[in-house]
Amino acid sequence: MATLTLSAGLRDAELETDSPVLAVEPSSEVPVEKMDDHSLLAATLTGDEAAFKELVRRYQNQITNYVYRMLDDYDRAVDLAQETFLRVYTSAERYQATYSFSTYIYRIAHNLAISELRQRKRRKLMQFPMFFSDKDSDEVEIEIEDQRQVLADDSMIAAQQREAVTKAIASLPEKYRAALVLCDIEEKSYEEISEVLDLPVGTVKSRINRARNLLKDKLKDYI
Amino acid sequence: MNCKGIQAVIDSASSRNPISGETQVHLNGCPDCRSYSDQTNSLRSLLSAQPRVQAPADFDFRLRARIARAQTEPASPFAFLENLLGRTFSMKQAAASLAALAVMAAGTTLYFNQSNQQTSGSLIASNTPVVVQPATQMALPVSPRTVDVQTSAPIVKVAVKSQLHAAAVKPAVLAQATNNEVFRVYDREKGHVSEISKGGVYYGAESSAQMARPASFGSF
Repeated sequence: MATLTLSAGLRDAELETDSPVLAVEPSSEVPVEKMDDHSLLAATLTGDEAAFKELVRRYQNQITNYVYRMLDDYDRAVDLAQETFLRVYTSAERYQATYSFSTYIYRIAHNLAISELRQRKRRKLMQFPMFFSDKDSDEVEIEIEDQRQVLADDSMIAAQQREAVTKAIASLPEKYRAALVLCDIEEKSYEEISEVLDLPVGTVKSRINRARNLLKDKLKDYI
Repeated sequence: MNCKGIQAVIDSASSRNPISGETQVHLNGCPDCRSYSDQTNSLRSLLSAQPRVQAPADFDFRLRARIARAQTEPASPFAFLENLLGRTFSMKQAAASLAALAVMAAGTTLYFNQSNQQTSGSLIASNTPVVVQPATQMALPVSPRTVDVQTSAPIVKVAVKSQLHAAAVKPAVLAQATNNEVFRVYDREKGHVSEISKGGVYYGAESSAQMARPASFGSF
């Protein structure tokens, strides 16, 4: 059985570490459903397409959902989720096993989402140069109306509430949005979020609290 | 623990890390913290109840196609720009961009050429003293033949002759350097030495042309 060594840094996720490389022994006898993420990636490197397919199956919805919450654009979210997996596939040999695979893939997705948001901002500035501003905030002022009184049907009320929450999340500054989505929607721990965002845990906590306080204000009619 | 500490505990609480009995006791006796806790829990419930979007059914199929395309396509010649700007370019877009750049470059060149001609004309017409580097600040070339000229004539212009004619100025050539010559001019009015080389022409006013005479540079 061949021993596969996973080494080198992550260009896309920009993870830098001096930690030792991990030696993984992919086993063809274990069904892919029972293999852990590291083993699946190691097997992918040996050309095991089923292993990569299993990785995609495990993370495709999580990554699509995370990018969607960051961008509020489903089609683009799917596109960037695919780009995330493409980068995982083409850079598999550079994977550093210091971090969990989950952290690794979220970090790639996060970087792509942030890059997309910055491009959008640039495009917007180029279209409306008179609105250039030095304000240190990309928070969007939104008006969320409580329409529960006029919506008779429960399902309509629920749909309206979902839409209000989606709008409120999308209106948060991106640095707060990322921390909040990872914590309260993706249910990641502070430590995992710290690794994905490459921030100290204290900064992560403060961003989450700031995001929650902003949301409490925006969604005061719903909580 | 004070209210600030309790609220920090509430913020950090999760299903994996529930609030302690001590915090619960505080909440029972503190309406402000109770309200903060209720709001935070309500917001969390609202967020966790958000439906999760799913990847489309053909996600894996499309991904396979994308990987296959990435493996077969050669690297884009505009990869450096794509990396810089974070987007991809088609050949059509790239060609259009290059054409636009070429038009801009041509326009800019034309504009500056016209500006230079206008500037030359105005200098000549106003009899402005020539702006040439003082020889004392320049490294003298070794190979070209050097001719020294002494004059007190007001300097009109060091320029190509055609520009002077175009500006309707009748110049008198005081000295003209061939491609293999460098000559130095001592301007008594300004008290400095100027150097002209490689085809440059030194003009003075017509009436003072006879005042120019070759001289030894060392005698200045």
